[in-house]
Amino acid sequence: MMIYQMTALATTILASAETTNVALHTNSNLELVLGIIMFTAAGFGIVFGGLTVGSVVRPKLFHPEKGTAYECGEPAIGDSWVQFDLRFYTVALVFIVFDVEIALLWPWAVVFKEMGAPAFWAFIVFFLLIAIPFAYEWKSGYLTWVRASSGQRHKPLLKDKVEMAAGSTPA
Amino acid sequence: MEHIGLTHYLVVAAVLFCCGIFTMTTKRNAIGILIGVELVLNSTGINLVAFDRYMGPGRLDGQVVAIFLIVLAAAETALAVGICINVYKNLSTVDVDAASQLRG
Amino acid sequence: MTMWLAQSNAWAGIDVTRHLFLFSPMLTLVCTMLAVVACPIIVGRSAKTIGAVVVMGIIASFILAVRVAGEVAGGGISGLSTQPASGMLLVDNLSIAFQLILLIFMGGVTYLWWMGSSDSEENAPEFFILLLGSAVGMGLMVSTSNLLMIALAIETASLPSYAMVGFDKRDRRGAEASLKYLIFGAISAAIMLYGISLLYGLSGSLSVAIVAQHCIQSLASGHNLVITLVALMCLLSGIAFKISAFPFHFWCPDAFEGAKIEVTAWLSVASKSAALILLARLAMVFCAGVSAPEAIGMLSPLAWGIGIMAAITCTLGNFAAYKQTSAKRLLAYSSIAHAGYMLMAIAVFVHPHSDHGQEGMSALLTYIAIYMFMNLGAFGVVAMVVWDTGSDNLASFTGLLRRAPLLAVPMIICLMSLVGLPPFAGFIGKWWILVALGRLNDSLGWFLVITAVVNTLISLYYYMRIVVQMSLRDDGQPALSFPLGGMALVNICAIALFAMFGFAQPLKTTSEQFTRNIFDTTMAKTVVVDAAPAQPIESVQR
Repeated sequence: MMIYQMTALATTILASAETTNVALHTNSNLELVLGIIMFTAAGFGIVFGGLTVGSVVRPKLFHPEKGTAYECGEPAIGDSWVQFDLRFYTVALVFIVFDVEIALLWPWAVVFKEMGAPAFWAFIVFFLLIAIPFAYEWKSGYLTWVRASSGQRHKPLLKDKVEMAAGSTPA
Repeated sequence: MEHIGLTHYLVVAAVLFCCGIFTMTTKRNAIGILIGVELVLNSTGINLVAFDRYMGPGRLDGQVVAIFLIVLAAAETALAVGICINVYKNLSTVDVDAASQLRG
Repeated sequence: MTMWLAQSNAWAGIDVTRHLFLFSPMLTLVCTMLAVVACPIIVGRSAKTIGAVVVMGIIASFILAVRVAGEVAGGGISGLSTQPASGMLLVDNLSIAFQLILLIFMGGVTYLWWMGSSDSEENAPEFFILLLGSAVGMGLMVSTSNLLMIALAIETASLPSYAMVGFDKRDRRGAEASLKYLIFGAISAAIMLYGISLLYGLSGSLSVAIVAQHCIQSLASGHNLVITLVALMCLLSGIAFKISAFPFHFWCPDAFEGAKIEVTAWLSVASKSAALILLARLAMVFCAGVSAPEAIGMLSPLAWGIGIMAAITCTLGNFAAYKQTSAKRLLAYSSIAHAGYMLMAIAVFVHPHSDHGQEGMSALLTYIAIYMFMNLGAFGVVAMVVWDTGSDNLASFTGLLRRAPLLAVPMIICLMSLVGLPPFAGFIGKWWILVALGRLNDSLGWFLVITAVVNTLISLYYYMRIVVQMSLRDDGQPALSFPLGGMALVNICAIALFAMFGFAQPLKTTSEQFTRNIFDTTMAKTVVVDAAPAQPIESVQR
């Protein structure tokens, strides 16, 4: 049910965006809509036309080798859907959170000279809000790649150490 | 064709919004749904910046909102990936159809 | 430092010290949050230490909130800047009243958590960071009339909630619940933000007062009609998600059942009522913008819309609660039903016949205050049953009146109060909403009155089922062991429900005081709206 609602909503929005345009600039807008339609039609045409013509024309000789992925001529080893080490995700998460804060510093940098001292203090507050959680991450051991250091929360069990040595994810 | 104007940006944003909604409604993979959410958020960003640019000089509100939007999207993604990892650890999949233990 | 700030040019004309003071309750919570983050670095992760820090923060915040309440009683301050219309935050009676309720409730939830966690609990800092974070978000939700702040506040309240629902990492159900909550929340937030961007484009401003003016213009003239309606619906969908109103309620039972019980209690009251007050503020701005002649034509459909949404929400919540066997899930559906009753209060003051805007608002505020005690008590008892028996199935309540009379009696009081029976406070809350509806004296009013009464009868059945299970049935299970503090907490809630019924008139006066003078701050009144005419889309030159 949700799906139908959302699709209907999306359609209305698209339609309304276009009706607004039509009311504003009738000619140019019809041109634009026509252009979009032609572009979309051409895109679909080339893809599906090519596939259809190909499927009609090509000889149908199946061979298992043809079904495998092309890896520079080498035979493929295993599945491409292997699981990455979860630590990559953790590091990526930490990175994203702190990386994006830079976006908030950009407008601050623009007005820094004009605003002077208040801007400086505002930055100090902002910096504290980031620095304290960063220290927390560090202390909690989320930034260490091999989590066996002493500042860490969970003392690793022997089992975990063995697993870590084998290169798998620590529990 | 004439110059690129506000409507062009709005149409791009609307198309992006629809793509996002489409992705959210058709994907069964939690990460896929979140990618749809990102598309919608980006269409919002395009809208805001385009309105600022074309609605007269001196407007900054939209750009400020756009910056906050980026931060918001990042925070949401970080949390979402965290929750997805947790779900994967527990259910060994992030397919939303597999999350069916709670019902009634 | 603040003196220095005030002397600088960019801040000229702003009484920084006063503004910081007015906003200090929420700032104190943020500082507490930072202190909790710093705790594991400096003194370690002991749950006792963290709990002490949090409690001190809550008490400090509460004292400051009481002082601020005295300060703004005569009229709040809008914008917290020299230009109210461009300001992002406001402090007035309503926002302070909600923050006070929120802080009391947070104290209760903290206490509940503290009793429920074992000595070896080492995730205390994380839990309280999330709890405080969502509390700050909810505090912001009620103290703004700016679209950007609304979006940020809703997200600040939502993001920690997702994590709190899935807090226990080894719990499969928690993981599933948080995934569902996250996906619904992310989708509705994204749609809401798109709506906000369209509203910004239509009006050229983020201030709700100006946005509402432009929306009304376009609704009256039919210009950009469709896009305005779509944008408004997008915005409302985000708020309706937080309220868990009818088409956006799917997350609610799942998230509530999978979460830890303290978290369920927290979300069921705090996040819903914050969103309701936000919606009430938006409705107030919108109604104020409509001048009298156009009012009937425009407000009537809106009132009907909200009224029907309220009716469906509470009917659906009650019918779904009918066949539940899990106490948590039953209370989750009951919270959907109560959100429906509270939405009815909003329908009252959107209504064109109504000049009792304040009546609806004070009824809503009273209901929230009462609802807080009812739910804290009910969830408290369920929590203690779960801690002892390990299950929240209704079967584990069998014979509770014999096994633990000091829990069963407050539970019965809370449940009867949830039904809305006298002599408990739940009756007062419901009665005032019904009176306000009845005074409208038209089809919508009576329709909602009938719906509410019928729903009360339906709800009587499933609440009574728990009562019967506790009192009349007994299968000889051993007596329940429970912490004394928890017993005290639920009994205090039960006594509060009695007391609020007894002191109904003072309660009414207080809630009327707290909803006074909120209009100007919400409308960002002190500034002339036409000073900087916003360019609507039509006049854009390419």
